[in-house]
Amino acid sequence: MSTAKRWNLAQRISALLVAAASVVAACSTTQGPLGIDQHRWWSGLGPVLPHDDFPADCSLCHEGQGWHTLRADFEFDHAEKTGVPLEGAHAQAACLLCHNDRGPVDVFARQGCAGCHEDVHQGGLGQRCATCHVQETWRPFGQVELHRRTRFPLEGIHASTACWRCHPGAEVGRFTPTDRECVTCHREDLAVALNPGHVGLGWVDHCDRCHQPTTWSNAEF
Amino acid sequence: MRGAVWFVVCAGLAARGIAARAPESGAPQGQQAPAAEERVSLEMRVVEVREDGLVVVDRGRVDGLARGDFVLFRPLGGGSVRGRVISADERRAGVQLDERDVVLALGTRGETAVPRARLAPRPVPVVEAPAEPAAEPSDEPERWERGDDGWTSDQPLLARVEALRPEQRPRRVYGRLFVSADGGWTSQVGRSDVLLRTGGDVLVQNPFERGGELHVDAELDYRRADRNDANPDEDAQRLRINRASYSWGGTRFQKVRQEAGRFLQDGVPEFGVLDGYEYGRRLESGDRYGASVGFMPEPTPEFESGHDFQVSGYYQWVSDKREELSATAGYQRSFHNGAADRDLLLGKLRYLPGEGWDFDGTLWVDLYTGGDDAKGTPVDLTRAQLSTGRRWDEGHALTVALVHQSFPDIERYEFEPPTASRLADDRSERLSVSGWRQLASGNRWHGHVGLWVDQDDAGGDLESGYEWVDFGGRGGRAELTGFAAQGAYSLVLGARAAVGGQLARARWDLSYEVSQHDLDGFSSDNDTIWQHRVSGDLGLYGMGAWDLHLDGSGVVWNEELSLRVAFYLSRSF
Repeated sequence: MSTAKRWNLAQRISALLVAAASVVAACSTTQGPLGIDQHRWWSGLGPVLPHDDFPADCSLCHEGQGWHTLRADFEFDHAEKTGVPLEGAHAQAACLLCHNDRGPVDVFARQGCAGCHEDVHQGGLGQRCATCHVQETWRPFGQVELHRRTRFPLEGIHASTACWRCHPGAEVGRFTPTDRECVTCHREDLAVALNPGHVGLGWVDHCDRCHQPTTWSNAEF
Repeated sequence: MRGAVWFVVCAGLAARGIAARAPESGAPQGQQAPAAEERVSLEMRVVEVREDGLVVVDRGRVDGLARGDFVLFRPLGGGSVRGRVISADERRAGVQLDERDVVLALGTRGETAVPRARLAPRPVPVVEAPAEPAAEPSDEPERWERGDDGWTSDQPLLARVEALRPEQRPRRVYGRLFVSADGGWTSQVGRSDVLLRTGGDVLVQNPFERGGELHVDAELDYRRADRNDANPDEDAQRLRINRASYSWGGTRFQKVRQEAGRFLQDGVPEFGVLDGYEYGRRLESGDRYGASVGFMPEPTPEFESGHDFQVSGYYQWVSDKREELSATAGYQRSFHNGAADRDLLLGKLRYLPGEGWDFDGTLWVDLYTGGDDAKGTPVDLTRAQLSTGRRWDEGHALTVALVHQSFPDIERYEFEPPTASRLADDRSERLSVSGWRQLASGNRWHGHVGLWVDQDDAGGDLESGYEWVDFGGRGGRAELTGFAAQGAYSLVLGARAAVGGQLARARWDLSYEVSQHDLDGFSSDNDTIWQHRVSGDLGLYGMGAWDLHLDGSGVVWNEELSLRVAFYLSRSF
């Protein structure tokens, strides 16, 4: 009985070893991890784009002796061939700007804009770039409308003021944090408000009690 | 009759995506192939179009193609064109199109079906054994006696294509040059501003034949702001270098990535722009770690550097090679003019499954020591940016976002320095839900609900509208939206109408918005502003490398008026 138990234990160990060896063998002989066929990470790499299914006539796409240069008249229907249409400025982009040696394009495409584009806002505005940008141009759109979703809807003169007047870092993509108090942006206006002298009278905050968000020149009673 | 038979055969095979062909060249033209003959599909591409209309394809006799075969070409633009093989070399064939006036593009795909028997391997020549005793070894090379193994050009390439290393690639230069102008004027004399910008960015790949990349991004700005009679006008011009760096590695072949110069940090962009050096390494598991050292330019138009020194490090864990789930932890220690300034912990979590719900979250946590009295706490969540969203196959979308922010107690200049009380108390949280619902007609509803809370007040916003997609033509749109917002100083109610269109190489949009602003806390009855805003923009995008954009807006409120116009022109290369 005890012999049978020891045999069973040995069998289990053997089975475990066989299973482990099978896993190791399977992993080591698999063409690539998790079926990422394009733009492989691992060593033993092929070209940026696997050519296994391409026609054997290299001159259809390439020219030159080394076949490393695409023909000047090379065209590729990205939408038809890959199911991913190139929209806006992407239709004009050079292939190698996305399909290059840094790794699988599948991984980067999954990350959306951030997969290829630097986040000049340094994470401060989130990852949903399409809220403010379109694919045709990086000029943002709808800033006045979007500002209504903050504590400070743009009204009066503020709806026509350049971003950099309130956000000192706007030109380098930094918008936050920004204080909503009037004097944060209008400190110089407060300093020269002498008729009557605001600072002397202690009128240094709550400007909105007397001033409307118009052109700021006069109080609106 | 013969033509009718061929029509039936061609139609049947074309329906399967395969064109019929005539019998083998050896057989009399026009005879039917035996019905039971097994055929295999053969794809080909157009490699040459001759002046006489003859189309040359990249398949020949070794592929089973023979004179008289019919080929069906499928141009990218749609439809099909039939042709007939009139000559077949070993690896190429000439095809005469039925419609002589059709010109096929190089690379156009073609199909046919050939008898499998044609693809049978050719017999290997039998070398008879010498009748005489073996001769003495001679210096003559042995004859190549192996026959064709049956390879055809539609099979994978004989030799594996060797990967080109970055240092082997030809030097390439990409970039963009731009000029823009943005100006605003008001009906009150002495209130205007202008910002002129010109500059460009250049990326040089493999500039020194070592596989690295050189990045330069710089611009020249001029801005002028007329404030009013009492304040000094602002009049400044500056040259700002946004980036000037050299990076190398970080490719499929080199796990280590390094960059030196002025650049936005690659591993953790939240740590900001750096004048220094960054090192990053990718592990076999896909995880990454890295560190950086250098000065941080202030995030102002001047990009003044040399005051804030930082060291930072990070580790990024990924769940698998696809990086569906990743988590990053980083630490940044900075010094302002030589004195200890900021201890920043950063955590990021991303779940990007490709379909279904995704998630993105980033936390900025400041650690304060005994010298940082303003905060009154050793640990403070300075900023949080969390969002989750989903897009459905039907076209619906939903996004939920939560943002928290407060001021960090730092010496470095990143914003207008707040007072001590604001530093201690000021905070804001914003929760928003936005999305749209696609209707069967192709049009859609969109909506947005937001709530905010800060140290003093609370409010929110609501927006809902209907959008007509392809209004007036493909790419056009029309929109009607109503909105309300409770801000810190006012309650806003309004509506917006917008219309836009797509031209051959341009897009235009116009919108009109009317809103009523009730000012909170205003000490007079004169506390309502009616505001009208008209805006429009025109973008010319389809001009190759050129991009031209014009936009403008006008705002009328009470008896005042303001205008803004902007111009942007860029050329990519």
